[in-house]
Amino acid sequence: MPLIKIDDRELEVQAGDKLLAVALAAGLEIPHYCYHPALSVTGSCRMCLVEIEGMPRLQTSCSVPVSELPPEKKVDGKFDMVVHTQSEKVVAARKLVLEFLLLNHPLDCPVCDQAGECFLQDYSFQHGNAHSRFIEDKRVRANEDLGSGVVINHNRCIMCTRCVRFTREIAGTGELYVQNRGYNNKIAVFDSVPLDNPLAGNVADICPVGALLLKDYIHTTRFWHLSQTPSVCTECTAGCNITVDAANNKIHRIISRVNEQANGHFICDYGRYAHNKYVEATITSPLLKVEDSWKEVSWEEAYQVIKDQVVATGGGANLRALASPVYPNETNFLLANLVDTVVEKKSLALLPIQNGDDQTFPAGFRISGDKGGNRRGTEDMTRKLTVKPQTLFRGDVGVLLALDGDGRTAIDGDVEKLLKASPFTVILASNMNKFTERANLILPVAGPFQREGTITNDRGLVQWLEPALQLTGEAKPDWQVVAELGQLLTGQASLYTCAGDVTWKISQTIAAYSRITRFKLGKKGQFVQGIK
Amino acid sequence: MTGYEPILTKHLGQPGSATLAYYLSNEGYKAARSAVRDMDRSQIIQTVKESGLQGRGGAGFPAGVKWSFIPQNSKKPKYLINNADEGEPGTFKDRLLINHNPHQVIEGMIIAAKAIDCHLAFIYIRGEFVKEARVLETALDECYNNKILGKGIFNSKYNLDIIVHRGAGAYICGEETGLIESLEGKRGWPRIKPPFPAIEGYLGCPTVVNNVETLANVPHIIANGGQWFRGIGANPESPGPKLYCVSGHVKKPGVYEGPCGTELTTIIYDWAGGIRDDNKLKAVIPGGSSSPVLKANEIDGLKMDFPSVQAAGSMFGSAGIIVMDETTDMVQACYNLARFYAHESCGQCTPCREGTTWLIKILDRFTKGQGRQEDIDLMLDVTDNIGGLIDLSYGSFGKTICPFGEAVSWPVRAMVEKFRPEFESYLTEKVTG
Repeated sequence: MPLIKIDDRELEVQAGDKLLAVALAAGLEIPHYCYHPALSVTGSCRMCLVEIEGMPRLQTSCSVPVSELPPEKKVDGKFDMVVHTQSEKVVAARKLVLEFLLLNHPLDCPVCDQAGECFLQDYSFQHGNAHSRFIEDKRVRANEDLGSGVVINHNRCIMCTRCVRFTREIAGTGELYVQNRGYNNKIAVFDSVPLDNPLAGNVADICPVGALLLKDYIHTTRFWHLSQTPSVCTECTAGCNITVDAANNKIHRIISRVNEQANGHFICDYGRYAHNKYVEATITSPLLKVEDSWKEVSWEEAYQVIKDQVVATGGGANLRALASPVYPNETNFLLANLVDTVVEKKSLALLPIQNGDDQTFPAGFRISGDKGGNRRGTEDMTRKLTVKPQTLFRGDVGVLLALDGDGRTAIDGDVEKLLKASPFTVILASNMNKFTERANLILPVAGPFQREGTITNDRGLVQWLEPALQLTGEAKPDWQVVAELGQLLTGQASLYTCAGDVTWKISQTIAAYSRITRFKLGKKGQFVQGIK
Repeated sequence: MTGYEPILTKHLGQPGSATLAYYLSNEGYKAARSAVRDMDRSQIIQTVKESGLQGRGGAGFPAGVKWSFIPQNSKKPKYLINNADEGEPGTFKDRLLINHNPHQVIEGMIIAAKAIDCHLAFIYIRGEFVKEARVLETALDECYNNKILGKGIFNSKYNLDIIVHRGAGAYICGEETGLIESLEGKRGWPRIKPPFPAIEGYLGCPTVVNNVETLANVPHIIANGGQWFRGIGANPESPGPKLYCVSGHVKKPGVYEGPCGTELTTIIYDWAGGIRDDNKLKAVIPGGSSSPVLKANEIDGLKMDFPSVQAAGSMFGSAGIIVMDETTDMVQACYNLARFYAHESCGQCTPCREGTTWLIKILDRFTKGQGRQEDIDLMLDVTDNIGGLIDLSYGSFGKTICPFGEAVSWPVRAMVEKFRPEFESYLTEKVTG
C-alpha cells in the first residue's frame, strides 16, 4: 500500500484512492466546493489545489489518485507522494480562488439562510482576503423558483455544479443544467420542466453556499439558533439517517445525515418534510370519549377507567393488542411482554400500515413503499405472539390496547371488525387521526421526533432514535406508558427507568439483538445478529 | 519559396481538386491502400514516429507517440477524431485543406485509423464551416461508392466508417476533451486529465484526436517514409511542411506553405509582401491568438518551429501569424483579444470564468480613460491566477482544467508587460473616441 505524507501526517492508503478523499477520511481538512463524495469528480472549483512534490503545477486533490512508486523513485526513500496543503503557493492560490468566487457574491450573510454553515463564509474567513480588489459593479440576478420547493439565489451561486450532478447521477431525472456560457453560466431548469423528483430537496443540502434554498425553511430562523439532533427517519422502512434541526421545541428543517450503511448521503422529500404533517392536532392529555365528545382526564383517572373496563370485559384473558410498526422496538417489546403475561393465548397483531410501491434511483437510493418504518423491528419484538388480525375478533373480545399508526394506519376490514368487536378501545397516540377517533380512550404518548428507542430498518440495521422534540402537555414516553399499563394489569413493578433499560432487556431476551445496547449503537447503528 | 515544392497544397487551385477522380489520378489513396493492405499497426506508428510529425493543432505533441498510447489489448472499441473545429483567431489553414483537398485529409484518417485499430472515426467540424462540411460529406460519399470507406476497404478485411459531426460554434470544443464531450452530446466542458483520451476518451473508450493538418501530412509520410519527412525544414526535431496563416497588417494576407523552421521575417516580408503601407512593424503574434505577442525586435532571425518559437518566449501553436503595425493601439488590441476569450470561456473553472470577465471589465475602464495605476499590476496578477506565469518549460502550467486558462492569460500578460508604457499612457492622456 502506498505511503503518503500530507503536511506532517503520514498515511498508508489504498492505491487509486483520490487524494482529497484520503485526506478527509484521515480528518485532514482541504478546502473544497465541487467535490462531493457521492458525486462524480469535476475538479472545477479549483479550491482543493495542493502542491505535490515532483509536479510543477498545483493539482486538484479531488482528482489526483494515489499511486505506488517504484522503490528507487520514492521520495525520501519511502513516500509515494508528498503533499503540501499549506505551502506558500497553495495558500496564495486558495486566496485567489476565493477572491474570484467573491467577485460577484453579494456578501449578504446577514440575511442569508446559509450563514453559519456556509463554506464560502468559512473558507473566506480562514483562507481568504479581507478586501477585494474588484471595484466594478457586481452582477445582479433575480431569484428563481426551480420547483419542488427549491429556490435559487443566483447571486450567491459559485457554479460548483453539485446540484446538476445530483439530479443527473443520483436522482436520474436531470432537471438541472448549466445555462449559457462562461461568465453568464447559471443553474437553471429547462423551460416548463421544473425540478420535480422525490429527492429534490437534497440539492439544498449539498449546496455549499446559500444559493439553493428550501422554501419551507427560508427566513424562518438562524442556523445558530437550531439544536441539531442526529436521528433516524421513520417514514418508511429504509431508515435514513437525518439531522433534525429544531428551536424552541419546533422543527425547522430535517436534513440528511451521512450513513453509508443506511441511506448514504441523501434523504427523500417525504422524510424531509415529514415534520410538517404532525404539527396539527397534538394530543396533550388523556382523552376519554363521553357521548361522542372528548373529555380531558388525568392519567390516574385514565388508568382507573382501563382497569375497570378490563374487569368489566372478562379480565385480562380477553385482552387484545395491536403493535405498531411506527413505534420503536422498546414499546412494541413491552406491549408483547404485557400480552404474554396477561393473556394465555396469542392475541396480538400488527397494525396494518399503508403500503405503496418501492422507488429506486439510478445510484441506488431507495424509498420503501412500506411506510411502517420499524416493520422489521416490530416483527422481531412480537414474533412469538403475533397472529393474523382476523383471529383477534373471534371469541370474547375484551379491551383492545393499540399503538397508533401516525395517520398511516390502513383501516381495513379486519381492523374495522376488531374495532367493532372491542367493547373498549385504548389507543396510545400523539395526534388525532382517523384511527384514534375510533378510540374510547386515548393516552397521549411521544409522537414522531419525540420517540426514543431503537428501530430496525428493512435490512436489519438497528439504529437509535434520538428524540428531537420535548413532550408537550401531559404526554409521556410511549415505552413508559406501556410499562405502566403492564404494571397496572399484572401488578408487577416496572424495572425500567429509561428507554435504554428496555433496550438492554431486549438484548437479554431476543437472540438476534443480543449485542445491541444503546451505547454500542453510536450514530451509525449496528446490524442484528446473523446479518453481515 | 525557392527550392521548396508545396506538399500539402500542391493541388490547390486546380480545377476539380476536391474530387475523388482528381485525387486518384494524382496517386491518391496509394498510401492508404498500402497501409491498409500491407502494413500492420506498429509499422505505421513506427514510420510516423520516425518522421517526427508534431501535432499541428497547436500543442505540437508527436503524432506517432500519441497513437502508440492507445492500449493494444483493450477490448473496447477505439475511436479516431479529426479535429476540424478550427477556432483559434488567426488560424485558417484547416478549412483550406478541407475545401480544396478533402481526400488528402480522409486518406490521413484511414491510415491513422488503421494505426490505432479504429473502425469508426469522426470529423468534428466547426459549426460555421457549412461549406466545408458539405465538401467533406460529398468526398465521403465518393469514398463509400468506391470501396475506400465502409466494409472491406481496398478489398481488405478492414472496415472503417467516417462520420461528419458539426459542432455548434464554441471555441472550447476545439480542446480535445471538450470536443469529446460535445461529440457525446453533452455540454462542451473539458474533462480533467488524467485519464487522457488515449485511455478514456469518446464514450470512455481509447480515442485519438488529431488536427486536420496533422492528418493531411500522414499520407505523404507513408508514401515517402519517415526519414524523408524529417529532412524537411531546418530543424529535424520539428520537421515537415507547414501551413502559415498570415493575417493582420500585411500586404498579402493568406495561407502560405513552407517548411517548418522558415524565418518569420521571410514569411512576413517575402511571402506576405511586407507591412501594409510600408509601415513599421510593431508586434507579431506567432502562433494563433493564444500565443504571447512578440515585439518587432524579437522576431529577427526567429525560425518558425516548435522549439525555436518557444525559446523566444512564445508558442509556435497553429502558426496563425497575426501582424500588427505601428498604428496598432495595443490597449485596444488587448481588449479585443480578452473579449474573445471572456466570451468563449466555458465557465467550468472558477479562475477562468471569473478572471476573464474581470480582465475585460478592467480593460473596458482603461479604454474609457478610467484606468488606475494599480490596475496594470492587478491585470498581471489576475492573468497569473488564471493561467500561471508564462513558463513554457513545463508545458501546461495553469490553474484550470484545460489550457484555455493559459490561452487567455499568456497573451494578455505579454501585451501588458511588453507594452506597459502604452497602458500607462491611457492613465495620463485624454482618451478620445
